[in-house]
Amino acid sequence: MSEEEVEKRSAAGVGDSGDVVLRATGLRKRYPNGVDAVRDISLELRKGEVLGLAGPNGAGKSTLLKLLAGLLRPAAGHVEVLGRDVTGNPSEAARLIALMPDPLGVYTDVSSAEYLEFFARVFGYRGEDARRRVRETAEILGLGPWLDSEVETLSAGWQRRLALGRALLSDAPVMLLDEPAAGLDVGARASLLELVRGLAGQGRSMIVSSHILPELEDLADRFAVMAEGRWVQVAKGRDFFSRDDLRMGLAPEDAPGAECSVPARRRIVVEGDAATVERAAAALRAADVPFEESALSSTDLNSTVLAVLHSASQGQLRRTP
Amino acid sequence: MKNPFDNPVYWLDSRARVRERRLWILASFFLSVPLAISCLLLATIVKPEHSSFPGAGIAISSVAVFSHCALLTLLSALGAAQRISQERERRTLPALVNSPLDARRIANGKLLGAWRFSAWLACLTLPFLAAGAIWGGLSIPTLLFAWILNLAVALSAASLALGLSGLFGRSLSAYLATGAALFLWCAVIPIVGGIAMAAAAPTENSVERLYEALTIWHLPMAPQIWLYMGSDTEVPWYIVFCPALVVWSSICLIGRALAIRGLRREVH
Repeated sequence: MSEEEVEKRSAAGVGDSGDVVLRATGLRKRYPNGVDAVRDISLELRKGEVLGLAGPNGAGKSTLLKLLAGLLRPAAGHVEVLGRDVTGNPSEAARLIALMPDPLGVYTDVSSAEYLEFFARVFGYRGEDARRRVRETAEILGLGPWLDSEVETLSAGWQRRLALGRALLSDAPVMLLDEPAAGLDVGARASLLELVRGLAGQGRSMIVSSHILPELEDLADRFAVMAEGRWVQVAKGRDFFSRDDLRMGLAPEDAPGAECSVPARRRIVVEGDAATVERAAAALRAADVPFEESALSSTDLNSTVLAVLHSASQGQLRRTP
Repeated sequence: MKNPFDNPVYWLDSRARVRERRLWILASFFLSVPLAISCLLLATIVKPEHSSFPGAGIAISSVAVFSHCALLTLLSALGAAQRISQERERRTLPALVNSPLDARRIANGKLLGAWRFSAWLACLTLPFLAAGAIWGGLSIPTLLFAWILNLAVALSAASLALGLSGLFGRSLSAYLATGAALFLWCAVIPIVGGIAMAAAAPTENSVERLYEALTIWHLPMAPQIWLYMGSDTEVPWYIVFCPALVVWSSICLIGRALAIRGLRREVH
């Protein structure tokens, strides 16, 4: 195994088997049109861990989630959940992995209660047990007032909660959420994310794929960025924001009058609010370091992911150990 | 042995389908056509000298058996033709496939739902059959047997449509394929059989019977026609019912197999 491969496996959490709930090894997927959607992805997810999955459109995030849920059959590699091989077998995977796909695909011509009861029945509950399970799930989701409403009449936010409810009914230890807050307004998004955060707190392992990066920032223990079907960066929590090749170590307190030498054409990341960034910019101006004013922004997951993708496209990427 | 009706897909179907306006329109159409014809026929009783019908009972029985057979076959197929393709269109299939239900159970649930719609439509014909019997039409056992045959054809058509629905991603394609398959079964095969029989001009009775068995007697209305003809026909019962039973059962099995195959293809 090459040094780079070892580094990549380490970053993806592969190798340390303690508390591992989900293990994917060497997943590859090529679509009939010749597109390699996923190329040699390995991944381990531990109990209670939340992995944030980011990347541009077409990066292979949704394909990866479908591979993990058994909805797609990989050209190579396999997926294990709690030691059971579920590769390309969605029925087998269903009790272990709950997928909330995007688009949601909820039945719109039934009531919320019927929708949940259907999936309760799918997962083996019958009669009063099924109805009790529906009530419990509705309580967690805050769906109580809407149980008798037709799904079609629910707002996008409530439909997303309903889809999350379907995932909850399975009691699966792993949840895969594909764009859980897509299309929601700020309030609905915050409310849904609070719910997801609560579920993560109960010990469920999750992979959350999202284009709305701040929501990942709040949720995830580990971040992974995909591009062209590959990992381009995987790192734990705040490590993700402290990549050596992105940071110049310009602490806010150092900013006034800081003496720093900045190599040409390097990106500077300053942690802090807009005022801090402005102070750092002032320091750079004072030190006569040229930089693009238009590139000024506070550090967040958006800018970090963009930087990661930029580095990847330039072949400059150094993976976080 | 598991109760086949203890199927979540069937359970959902029984709730969602009831609210589908399209199916109520189909049912109304199903009821209104023979109702209008029957009313016209009954009106002839008022002035029997203007009617060339042998009797209102016979006429109502015929309308009930044959018009319902045609409509039941068509509407059962229409009612089933989008059951899987619509799930693909609405993107609800991944959640269904990513469940402990395997393709077989999903297909069984869908099939039972489609069959229930056919059975429900068939039940709507019972008052017409009763009216036919009351007005002196065919005997009650004959009418009931014809009703069972109609139901069997409807179940076959529904199975075929469901199977084809499993192969397509769009409901329109599924409808067109179902229409084409019914046309092949009900029009092309008898026409080709007729031409072949004319060209071969078989002299032996047994060969002619074989041609009929292969191309005619399995058609949706053919065994009912044999029943209606009663003692007027020389064709023995087994020449009629054996091909019908074999072809209709085969269509049911093929339809189910296609539906399972279509659902399994979701994981690719």
